[in-house]
Amino acid sequence: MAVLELNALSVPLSGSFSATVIMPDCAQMENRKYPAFYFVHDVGGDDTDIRTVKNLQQLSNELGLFIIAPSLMHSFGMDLPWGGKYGDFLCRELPGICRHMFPLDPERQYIGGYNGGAYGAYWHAANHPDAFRKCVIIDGRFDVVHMCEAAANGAKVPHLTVANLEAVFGDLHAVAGSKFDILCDAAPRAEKVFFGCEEDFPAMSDNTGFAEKLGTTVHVFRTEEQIYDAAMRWLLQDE
Amino acid sequence: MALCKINYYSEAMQQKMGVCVIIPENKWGYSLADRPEDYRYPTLWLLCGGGFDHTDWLRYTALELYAAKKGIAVVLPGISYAGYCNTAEGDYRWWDQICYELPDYLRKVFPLSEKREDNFVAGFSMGGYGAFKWAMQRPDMVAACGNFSGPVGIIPRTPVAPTEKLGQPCLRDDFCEPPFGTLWAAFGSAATRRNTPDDNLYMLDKHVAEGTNLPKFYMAIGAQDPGCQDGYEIMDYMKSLGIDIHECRDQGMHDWVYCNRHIEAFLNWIPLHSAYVMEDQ
Repeated sequence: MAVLELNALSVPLSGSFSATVIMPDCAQMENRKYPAFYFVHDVGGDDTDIRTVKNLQQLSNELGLFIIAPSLMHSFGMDLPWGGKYGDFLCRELPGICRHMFPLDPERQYIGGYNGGAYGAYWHAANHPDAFRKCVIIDGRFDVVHMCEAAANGAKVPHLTVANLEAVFGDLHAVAGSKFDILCDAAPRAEKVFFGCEEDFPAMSDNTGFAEKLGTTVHVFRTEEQIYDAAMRWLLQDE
Repeated sequence: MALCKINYYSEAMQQKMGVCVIIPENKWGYSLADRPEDYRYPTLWLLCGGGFDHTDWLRYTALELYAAKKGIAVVLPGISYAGYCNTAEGDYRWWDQICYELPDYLRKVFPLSEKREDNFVAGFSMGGYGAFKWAMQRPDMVAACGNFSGPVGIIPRTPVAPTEKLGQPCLRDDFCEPPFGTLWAAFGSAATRRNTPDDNLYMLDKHVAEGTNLPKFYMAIGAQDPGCQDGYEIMDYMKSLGIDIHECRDQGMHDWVYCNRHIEAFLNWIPLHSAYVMEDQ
């Protein structure tokens, strides 16, 4: 039940960043290297979102896991051409900072995300398999091609403006087939992905379709906490 | 500056507690990711005064900047008005949490050196008492101890009739204002603390008699501080014992302005071996 609020300097972000770290308590902490799960928050959220997941602190204690959630603004964890290089920060610098500050095993780094954050988490898992061994998608929304087209055509996207999206994806009509399109056949594939959805999640079929494409299935649960419980155990299974 | 504000479940206190940790960074444009993973930082265990918590050194001084300039990690516990004691009333085991649990825990979490020559303790006011007590109880852990405006000898050597409260003149009256009531509840009767490990002067005499390798001491108290005469007497007494002491009898009050000056001076005074200090802008 130890929660750590971290503020430190980043080079790719040109300044200070915020992150929330959930780590084992003093009674559980041992002199050893720990696995780390990097968490990408939903669009419109920030690093504090994971504090509201009731069982994450208990899972950190029980499983011996550092859960590290940075604030990523509206970036989805991607580099912004004109601004913060959130992608480089997320997949390279932040794990480096955390390995310097905390007792973390470089061989056991994982990534995951919730809702819109699942897109960025998967993108990094697929494009940087050397950085992250496994990926967790929770109530994922990752069809950025459809989202960008809809926004460009005037549809309201929660928390995001057209300019927000263009800052990440460029021309919103040219996302299909680009490096951002994780669903296209040519896109790099992450090998080990856990899909978890709440049973009433509206975009369930998108998750089912994507999971099938990756040769896996969606794990359906009644509550968000049940998803995290299964997902964190899956991460450390056979590791 | 990498600042970590932590809330964790304390086994000693049986409740969640706050503590802040500073990992010193270089200036803007540098990242901790570029430093080696096996580096261990020299560490200052810095105690706040009575009535303060784990955030106050950060809020009222430029501590983070000073720490970065010297390349030292800093650990900041809180204390409320509990006197750096396992309390007589209420069974709050603050001292166990701060002096034993936190070093054990945080040295597993953060890259903090465990070498004696890399570890230092200091504190302001009530924290000055606590820092001195730390040096007395764990002289093998720290190379130097800083006491800024702290009542080292808060437990009087001789009984103070009729209340047997604590030794500072301002605390001798029967009239008990709320914060000092909490302090007394923490210490209980001076009679029960005298000649125990909580009694700094008793421990000092004991260590001198036993030839303990004590840390170096930095003792500072301002002329406008109500406790300055007591502070001067302690300094004189320590010198008479042949203790290695750097004394500052300067102008200043019992406040954060004084702390701000002396935490910087203390960090410049301690013998630091840091590989990473903040470069000039």
